[in-house]
Amino acid sequence: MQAAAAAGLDGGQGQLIVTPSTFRLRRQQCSANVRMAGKPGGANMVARVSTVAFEGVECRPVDVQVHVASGTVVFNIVGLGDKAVRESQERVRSALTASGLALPAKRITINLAPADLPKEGSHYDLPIALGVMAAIGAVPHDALDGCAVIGELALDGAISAVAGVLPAAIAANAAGKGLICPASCGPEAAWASADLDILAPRSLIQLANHFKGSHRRCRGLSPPCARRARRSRICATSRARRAPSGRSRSRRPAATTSS
Amino acid sequence: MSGAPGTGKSMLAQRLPSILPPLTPRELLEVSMIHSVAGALAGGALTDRRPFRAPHHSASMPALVGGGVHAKPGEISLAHNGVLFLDELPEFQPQVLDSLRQPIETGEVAIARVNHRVVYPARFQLVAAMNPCRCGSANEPGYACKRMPNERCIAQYLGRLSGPLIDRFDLVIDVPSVSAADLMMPPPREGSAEVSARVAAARNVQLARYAALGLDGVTCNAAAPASLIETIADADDSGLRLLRDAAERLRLSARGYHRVLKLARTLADLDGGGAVRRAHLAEALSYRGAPDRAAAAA
Repeated sequence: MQAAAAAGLDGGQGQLIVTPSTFRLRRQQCSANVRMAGKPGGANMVARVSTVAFEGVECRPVDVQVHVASGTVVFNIVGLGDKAVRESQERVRSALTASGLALPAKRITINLAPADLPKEGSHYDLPIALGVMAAIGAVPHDALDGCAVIGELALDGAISAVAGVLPAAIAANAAGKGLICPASCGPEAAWASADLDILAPRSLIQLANHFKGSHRRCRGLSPPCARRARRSRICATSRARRAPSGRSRSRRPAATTSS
Repeated sequence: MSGAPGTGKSMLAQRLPSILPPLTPRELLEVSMIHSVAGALAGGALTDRRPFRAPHHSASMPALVGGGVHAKPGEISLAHNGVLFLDELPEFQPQVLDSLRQPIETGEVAIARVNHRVVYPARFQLVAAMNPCRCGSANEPGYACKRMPNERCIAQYLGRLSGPLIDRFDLVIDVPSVSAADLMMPPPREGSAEVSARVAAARNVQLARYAALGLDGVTCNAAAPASLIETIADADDSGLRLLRDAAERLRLSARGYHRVLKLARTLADLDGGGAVRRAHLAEALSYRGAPDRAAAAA
């Protein structure tokens, strides 16, 4: 366990802490860690992020489930994704590397549920990346509860604009959730409702720092949205997320580089 | 709109959105949702101006109706609550044009593919421009088409359009040529702003009427159900006589009959919202287009 602690593993809780210097974990450390990963006292090792699939102008809720386990080092995305969804694993891998994280050398399985609904488009990049980050502990497990996520990743970790943010925002609002969307789509999402909580980061690092609490991205929206922000109380939920129950700040994972 | 080249048909069509009333919040939401899904909402800026889509006549059926690999909305859905302008109507592929027939009636388009079954709203105002014949100027006085008599040239060109599609046009207008002398005349006193005010007043009359009847979602005469039209467009005796005679003479279809009534109702609304009179019905019938034209096209 000493080795694990040296590598940044919080032994008691089994939280994996990833820092730039330690993102290449040795195999045995990983497997030792994975047995303990997840919520204390539970065997739940699946991170869940909610997003949407489009059916015309309607939105269907989609659950991105990420499972990190020991075994062959593969990265699988299942759940009837099209070519853009299959290719998202390369974008996610590069974006995480660019953000100072790396995919752990483990078996990563991603399921887009419901698995019989065809998924298409590039907006699953961000939920997949956030699911992986939650699964390896780079963002808190509960940070993404009550949030729908939509966005495409660039190889350098920037979050690019996607189509369909307005229907997604309306669907998220109807389901009583907040929305995480690309920065350039923030103004579009803000039309959905004045009460919708919107988080519109420019990059994965900004988002991770926001969850970590070191650099809040509450008002960091593009100007037209910032004007609306006065009315729309953007990010009220994220403020609440900064003080999660039953977990002290010192145990929060030092998620990413603080660039 | 039919007329010789250079008479201003396309220009007239492009000016149409400027006299239409702005989108209501509910319509704005529908329009923005479609544009958002299509990725056509640049910078998140919404506008209450009605959409105006003018696809080129080489457009394919999926481009116009929607579909393709991702079942994206087509031009008719992007023109929802706005204007779809088809310039050079007979140059479109006949199949593409006939695919518009069902959405025109239902106000939505259902795209069924192996993986998808998607319904997009598509309640648009169809505006089309064409030349009377292939040569372009068959209706000009003193003009003779090159290879054949004018009538045959016109009939051949119109033959590219299907009769059922022409039956769906409420207003058929012959646009006369504009001479240089006309252009030198002072501009008309009534500009787009004044016309827009008249249109808005008529729309308000219609909105109040359908709200009073308790019809949710119907805001104009075009969207009113046929069962209601005969009561709200109740004409006087002389008007009904005219309509009966004209319907026989013009061989109006049942759809055509109801469309004439709707149009007469709209003309009466533009006049201030009173009862439909004989003059309104006569004007509406005059826009129907000549019966021989429909027969030639069928």
